[in-house]
Amino acid sequence: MTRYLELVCPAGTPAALRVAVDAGADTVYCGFQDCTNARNYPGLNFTREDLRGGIAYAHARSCRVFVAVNTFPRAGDFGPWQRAIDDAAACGADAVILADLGVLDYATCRHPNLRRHLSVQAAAASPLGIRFYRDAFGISRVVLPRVLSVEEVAALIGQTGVEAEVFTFGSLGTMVEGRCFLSSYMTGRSPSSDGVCAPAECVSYREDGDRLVSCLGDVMINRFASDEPAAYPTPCKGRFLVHGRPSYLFEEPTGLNVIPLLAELKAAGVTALKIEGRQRSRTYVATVVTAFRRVLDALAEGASPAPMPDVLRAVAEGGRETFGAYAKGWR
Amino acid sequence: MAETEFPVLLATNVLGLLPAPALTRATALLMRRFGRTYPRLFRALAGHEPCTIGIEPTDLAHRFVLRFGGTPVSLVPTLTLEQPLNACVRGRLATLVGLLEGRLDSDALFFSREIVITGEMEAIVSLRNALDRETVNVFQAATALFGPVGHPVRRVALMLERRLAAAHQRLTMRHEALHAARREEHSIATYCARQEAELQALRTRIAKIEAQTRRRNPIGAVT
Repeated sequence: MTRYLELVCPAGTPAALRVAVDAGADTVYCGFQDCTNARNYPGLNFTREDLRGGIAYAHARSCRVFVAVNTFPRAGDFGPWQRAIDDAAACGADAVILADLGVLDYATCRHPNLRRHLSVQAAAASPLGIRFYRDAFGISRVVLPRVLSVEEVAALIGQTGVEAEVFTFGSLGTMVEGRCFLSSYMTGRSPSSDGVCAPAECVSYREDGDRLVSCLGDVMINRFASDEPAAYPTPCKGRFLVHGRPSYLFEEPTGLNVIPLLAELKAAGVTALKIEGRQRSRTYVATVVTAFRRVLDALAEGASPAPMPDVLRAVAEGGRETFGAYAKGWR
Repeated sequence: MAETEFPVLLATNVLGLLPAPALTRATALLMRRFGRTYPRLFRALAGHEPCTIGIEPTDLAHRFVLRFGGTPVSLVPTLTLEQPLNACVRGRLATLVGLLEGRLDSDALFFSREIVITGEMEAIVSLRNALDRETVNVFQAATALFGPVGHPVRRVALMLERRLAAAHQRLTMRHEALHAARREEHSIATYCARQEAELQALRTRIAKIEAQTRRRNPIGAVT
């Protein structure tokens, strides 16, 4: 069967990688157990041995594995990022997903034959920016930020000639990615360098009567009524008091799902679809990858995909779905 | 029901009947079995900072305290969760077992409020991620405690679960029928009350008309 669009799926653990491969992922992306990737949560991610085993499992089933080394090295501490690139290459990764200029340069010089993808953390959203990364570091693909409409995605692809990967399901990120400091102000740890937004050790929940209160450090992030869906305790999804009224200023707790826009994204020239959620369980991975595989196979055969069951809404943050910026209703 | 699924109705009934010392002993044996079957999971938990998590099945009288990090992993039943805890997880037994076995997505359950998690998240996230690496099977581990008769025990348990499920379904249907009848009774009573009020209003109106007629035609009223 002709591939309609490449399906790039998350894996936070070796078990999730196997589930993603078995559910029909074309590619799985993952990261090491340290600050070199943007999902540095306790107990998550891959050891070098895990990665070797995962790559062998995936390759045996014609599935590729990308390794995210997409955080920004701290001053004077480039070692973990160098080792991550070298080890990803040694383990047989099909590509590395990078954001920092130094890391990109290191990978280009040391492993010229290893595919380099530009991470969403680089927030490259202009033709000039993407062309710079293409010309300077030979990037093969750019993961586009989640702030672009379908028309803007099409225009960027037309002006850069670089493969584009776009987010299609999972948590939203409408800030300038890789440059968000909201969480750092509250916790002292940086999403961009420590790889963790709202670090687990700073998050707590407590019950206040029939309400659930989420806190990040000493800051109350949100308060949910008993009949209200809960959300992640990240500052961008917090409720803020404005003129005495609590409201979502940055993002509401809702999940991205652009299945109805897949034909438009293909027509725009998109190469690959990314599912967000390395921090999620293997059940989430199985559910979402299976659903997308079915839809993509139907589209590849020229059929209309069957209406989406509620299973995807059930795993979406806040139990609600949105087209995000692709439809630009919020601007 | 497949053998890999957990007989939750049976478990709820059995656990509800077990006296505390027997439950403590059974839980200790189960944890020892888990340690042998999932050594990687136990190694991952042992490497964590010392941590105490309360587990509160909403459909059981018992609560559980899970300890890991520094000391051997332990799960101890208790009637109340009064000791200092790092975090607490609350939900139906079937949901909690589903989480333990990695069959359910914890984030989705949290969003929908089917589980309530309170306290520090670091321990909970570590536990969830350690569990997600394994394919834990609680039912298999529990029946393996019976040694060579584990397989027949499994079959009997599944048969009992099917019967309990059928009985539960019958009970639910009867309960629903009873409620429907009550709703009907209630609607008849409401209807009668409304009719009575209307009748009373009509009587009042007739009385007023009669009074007016008498005022307008006093002779006629006399005759």
